[in-house]
Amino acid sequence: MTTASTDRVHQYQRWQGTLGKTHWTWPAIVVSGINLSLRHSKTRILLLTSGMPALTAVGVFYITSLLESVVGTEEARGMYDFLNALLHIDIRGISQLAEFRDVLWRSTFLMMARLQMIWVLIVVARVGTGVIANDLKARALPIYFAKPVTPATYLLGKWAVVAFFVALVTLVPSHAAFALGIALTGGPGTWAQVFTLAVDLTASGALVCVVSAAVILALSSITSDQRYVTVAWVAICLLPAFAQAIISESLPADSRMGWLGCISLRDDIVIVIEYLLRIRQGLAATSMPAERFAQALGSPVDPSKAALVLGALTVAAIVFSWRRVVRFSRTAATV
Amino acid sequence: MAVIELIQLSKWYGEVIGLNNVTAEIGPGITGLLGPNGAGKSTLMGLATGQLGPSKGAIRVFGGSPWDNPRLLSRIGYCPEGDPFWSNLTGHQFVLFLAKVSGLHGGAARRAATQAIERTGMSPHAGRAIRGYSKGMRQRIKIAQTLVHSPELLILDEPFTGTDPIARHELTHLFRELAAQGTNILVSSHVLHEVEALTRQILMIDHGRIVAQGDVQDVRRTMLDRPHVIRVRVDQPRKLASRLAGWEMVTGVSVPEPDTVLFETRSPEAAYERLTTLILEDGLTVREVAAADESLEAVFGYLTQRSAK
Amino acid sequence: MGAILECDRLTKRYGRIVALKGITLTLQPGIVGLLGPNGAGKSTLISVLLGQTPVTSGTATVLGLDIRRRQRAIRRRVGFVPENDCLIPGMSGTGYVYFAGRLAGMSHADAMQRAHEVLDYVGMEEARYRPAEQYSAGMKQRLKLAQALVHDPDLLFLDEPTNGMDPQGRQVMLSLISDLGRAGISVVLSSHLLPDVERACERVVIMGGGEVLTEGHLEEMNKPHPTLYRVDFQGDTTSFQRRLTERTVRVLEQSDGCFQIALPEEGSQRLVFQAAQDTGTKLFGLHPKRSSLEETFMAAIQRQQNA
Repeated sequence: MTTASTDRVHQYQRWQGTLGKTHWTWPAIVVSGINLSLRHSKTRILLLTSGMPALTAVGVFYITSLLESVVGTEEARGMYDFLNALLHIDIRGISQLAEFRDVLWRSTFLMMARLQMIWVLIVVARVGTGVIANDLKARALPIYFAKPVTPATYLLGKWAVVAFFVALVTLVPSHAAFALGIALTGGPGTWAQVFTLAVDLTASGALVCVVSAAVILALSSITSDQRYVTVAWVAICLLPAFAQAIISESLPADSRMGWLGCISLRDDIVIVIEYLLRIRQGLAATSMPAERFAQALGSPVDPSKAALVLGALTVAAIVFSWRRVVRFSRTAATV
Repeated sequence: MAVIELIQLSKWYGEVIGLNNVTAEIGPGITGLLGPNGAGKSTLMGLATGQLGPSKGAIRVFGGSPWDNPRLLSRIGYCPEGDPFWSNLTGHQFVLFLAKVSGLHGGAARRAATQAIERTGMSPHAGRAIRGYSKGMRQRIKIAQTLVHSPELLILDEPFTGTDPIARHELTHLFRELAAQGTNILVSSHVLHEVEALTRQILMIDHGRIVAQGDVQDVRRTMLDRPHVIRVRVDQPRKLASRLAGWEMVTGVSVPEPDTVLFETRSPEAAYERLTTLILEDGLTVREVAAADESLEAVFGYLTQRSAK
Repeated sequence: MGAILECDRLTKRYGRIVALKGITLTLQPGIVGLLGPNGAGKSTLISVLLGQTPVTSGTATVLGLDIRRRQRAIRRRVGFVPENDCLIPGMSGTGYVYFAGRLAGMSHADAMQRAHEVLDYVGMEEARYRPAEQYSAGMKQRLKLAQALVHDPDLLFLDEPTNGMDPQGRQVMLSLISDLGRAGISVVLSSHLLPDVERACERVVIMGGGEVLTEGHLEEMNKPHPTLYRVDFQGDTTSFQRRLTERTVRVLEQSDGCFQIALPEEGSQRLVFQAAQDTGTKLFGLHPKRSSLEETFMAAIQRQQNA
């Protein structure tokens, strides 16, 4: 027999549960931010296309592994031309190709990183620009700061949303290409080489994520209009490259490097990634004549200036957005 | 004579109905325009100010059609619900500009603007850009703009929204003063107490139709299906309740609070008369006798319930 | 249960502007109306009590927790309904309330279950699955209430919860607030709509220029006057007035079918009924004079301006 009862839905029911740790509210911000962004089909398509550079890289790995067995024969000529066009690497006449596998893979990943910068630009413009600006526009900040959310948890959550999407177009495809390449060809060499390359790849991907997410967070906290943020972001990414191209044309060749080489965010990231991938060091350990790679690598660049610029920019961006968010959190109930 | 006449007036937007075959006369004096969201109030105001043309039927303001009739429109002042400003102008520039648009020139326009701003209590803020105004200040500068060309008819769409109690008090005072000087006002508001403080004349619409019009108490009297509820606060409520229960004209009695009796009757006049006798015969001490459902709020509640059915 | 909030000489300055001028205030549990003209300091006070805006000097506790040191603990036990829309674009009603629950620190399952429970409570049916931007003004207000209730707070701050709603919507909102009071949740209701405050609140605090001007029970503030009454009647005005005067009732003011009168002593309403019966006048109403909240409010502001 059951006890008689009535369901009084429309009377307020108290809740008997317990609340978790307040420092752990940031994952909720991340999950909701990711879900909201993924709802747009354009974003999903964009993420799918980011696999293209990775597939190209797998193609390169496969072709070079085939080359190793046909070195010197007529069939190899077409493939030499292909590699030369793609990576600017001249490997004709080298008989011990397997020795250069590691360097070749690293060069391929550098090429991939260069290509991926386009996806970073677009994906951040789509999902990153509104990450704080839209909350400002919707005046949604009281929802966060009337709950036990601190400026740090808010910022961490928002940062992680952007970092997640940047990782989806950089880190994830790189590692996927790496794994697929190993599966198809047996990897770049010894297990130690596999391991160090994996670490280097992760570091380069993390660099892109940290820097781009920090910069966009700062830009997005300036205004409540996402369009302005998008314009500013695209300008920051493209204008220095144009400026550099124009200025360097009119300068003597020896003054082209130095600080002028560091004004473009994209170039700085590529320079540091090049350093992280350690191609020159790998090359020096082989018998390959360096001039064969000269066109692919360009003249050697000192990464410390680029790293300094990136570091300063990231710290400035974090400090700036931190101060903005602290201000928002203090006025959330009164705006 | 009526200020606004609606003659079998209909307005629809594509498939959506704004007003449906409405015939009514509005004014003179202050008339409260009531109804839930989406009832057709703004449509009616749009038609009366010539911003919309009727789909069918006709609307007459001061005997003429407001559609494409600038001379007639210069006799009407309209305060819209939204925020239609150029927010970089100062309050004074905004009102002055609209004074000029309404056909005033030079010194006359400046004087009219200054006066209208003063009447709405915005003089201290008139030199600041509208961008920095609070909701209540925006509302008041909008009303100043409505008054600037001394119109004979004011059409005010939710003029009190967002204003603080002091501004409400002052605006109520201003509207009553204007009405006393002969200005006709059609005002909509969601806050029934505000309407009650302005006028007893109401026009209530729902789903594009007129649900009620006229004096609130007269409207209440036409609701024959609703027995009147009378509240008596008395020292011996149970004694009074048992006596009332014995009367044929009383259809229901309750004691909702320890010192209060509520009873329902279909013949309130006879009930009030007999109540006086009863109070004296039984020696009851009565602290209050009042109709419990004749306020605008109660009437509005009955009407919306009915139109929901 | 102790006081829901205690402020001791709470002061907040923004540069030269003093938003709160040493507020000292103790509120017991219940539903409290927070009134004041624009710029009175209501929003600043709420922001300070939520631990958002740091104070210049003075101390305060909310639910016994210090606002300077226990901000996060306070926010776990209070809810806040802001005046603005504050919806997150793209979220459904359910998603929004769920998200608020997660931000309060609830687990996924708890937040989902509780989101539906509070949406039931505020009467949001199928609409809860639609994007919240499409909601009507009344639905948005109820959604914002649900969002603030999701973690079952002990104290709720509501900023203009009935603004822009039609009479039916306001009635629903006010009855929800009253029901929360019965369930043991304290509410601080900040509003410009005095009739709504009058209906929902037990006590009011009237602020002006950063100070508390008046505070007290509404019932006491609106207490019926013992001897001043208004009489509605139908009949011969002259003879009714003469008869009242003979029976020592003073007629202070007269207008069409309505007298303002003063009884000779408390409890002598009987005299009015006798005068009516003697002269064959029909009595339609006998109303003790009460000062409405609006009158109390205006008087408080007036006193401050004079001082």
